[in-house]
Amino acid sequence: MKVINIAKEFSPYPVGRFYGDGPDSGQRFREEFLEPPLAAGDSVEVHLSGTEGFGSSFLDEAFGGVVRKFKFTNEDVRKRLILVADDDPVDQSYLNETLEYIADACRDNQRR
Amino acid sequence: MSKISEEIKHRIREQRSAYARDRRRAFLHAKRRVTHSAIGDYSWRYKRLVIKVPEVLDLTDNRSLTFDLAASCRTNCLVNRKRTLLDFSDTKLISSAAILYLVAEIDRCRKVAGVAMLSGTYPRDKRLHRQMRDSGFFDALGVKSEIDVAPKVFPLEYIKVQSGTQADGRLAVELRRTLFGPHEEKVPKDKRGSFFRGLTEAMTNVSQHAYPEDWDVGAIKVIKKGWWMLGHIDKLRKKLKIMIVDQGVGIPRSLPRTHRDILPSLLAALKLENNDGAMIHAAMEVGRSRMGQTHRGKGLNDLKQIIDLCQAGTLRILSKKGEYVYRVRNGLAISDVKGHTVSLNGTLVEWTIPLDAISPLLALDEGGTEEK
Repeated sequence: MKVINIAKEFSPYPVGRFYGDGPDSGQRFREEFLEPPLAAGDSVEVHLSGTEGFGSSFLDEAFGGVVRKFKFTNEDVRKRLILVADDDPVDQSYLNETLEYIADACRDNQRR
Repeated sequence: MSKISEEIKHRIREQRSAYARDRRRAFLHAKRRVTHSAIGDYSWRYKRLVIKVPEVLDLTDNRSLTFDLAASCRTNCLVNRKRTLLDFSDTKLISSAAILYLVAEIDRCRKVAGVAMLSGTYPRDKRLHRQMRDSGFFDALGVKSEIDVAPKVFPLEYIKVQSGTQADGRLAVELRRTLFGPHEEKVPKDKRGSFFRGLTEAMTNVSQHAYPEDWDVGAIKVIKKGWWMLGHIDKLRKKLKIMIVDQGVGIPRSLPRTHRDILPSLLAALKLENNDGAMIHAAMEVGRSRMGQTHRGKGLNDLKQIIDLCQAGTLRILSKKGEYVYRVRNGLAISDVKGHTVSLNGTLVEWTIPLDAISPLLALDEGGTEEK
């Protein structure tokens, strides 16, 4: 399992959706950090705590985007994309929001 | 023989096209003189056109005066390419929103037309002089302040205007840290996160929607994806103001481009008319309701988060001729839409939050400037 700490390994300022939006965009995180291990059949554990915050565009593009790209079902997400956050109300709110984007993306995949 | 005749024919063709080109140039020049003639009186002393800046500039009661001043800078520097001097000697008050709007305009004029194209004088009013120095107004004009820099007292009244062309979380954090200094630790984590989100989502919106690739800007060139940001603590009213402005197409023009399919039903559902204020209101609802869309994040709706969290304060969005205001009073969220006759070229987002709603520990005793 590949473990990724966003604040330490990617950026403490994760914002923006696409590459053109800025250096710490969701698309860059998805393509450079999430997709390679998932494409290799590995599972990923992502630590959300420690950043200055998250832009909603970042969360949707990174996590909703990867679920759409690999056409994951809820079961796939449960097995291969594990999200971890500290036991702190703010970090937990980011976790819950990310889970919402993932659930939305899974629903999209089911419709297609 | 035929070779000579070909040469003559070619020369005649060239002369004709040169004549047509000159006529066309003269016509456009005359047209420009009528619609965009240079503004101000020529000063032999400064060797520039001088524009007298009004006594009070703000984006509420003196909105059109502020917009006229910005339009004059644009017309002189970008269309007529006339060196211009802004005479602030009689100016007494400039609101923080007007400061940001004008700094963005001055920055654009100097970057696009050249730094020598626009400059300014000092105001006689010392308080305004300090305000213009601290907010970065003089830096934008390329003028050195006459008053020495005072020792920093945190929280600061102003931080200098920052600008960028990408969504940059570092700058959003830097703004908060510079403004509050050592008091920054008193801001709770959830509110720090909301500031971060509001500002960076506003920057992301500028990057994605404000400057479309196919937008024909004409003679008034823009800095692609450009935004400008200002933080201000009104110590008299004990309020924090954070603003971000762009010079793009504006929400009322960008929304129909990005959400053409759902816009009529959205306006109908919200019982809104098709005007600029309504378009901003509709844009705020797009992210929240999603209207059957997917992978769109929360968009502009994220800008409300800090107001909801503090349960106080106001979010004001000015875009083209529209104005949208969202406020929370006594636990009730109220939104209001207005229309204006003059257009702001671009979009300005402004958060105004009482300091004690951010944290009771941020209560201040110092005096400061009063403004609208």
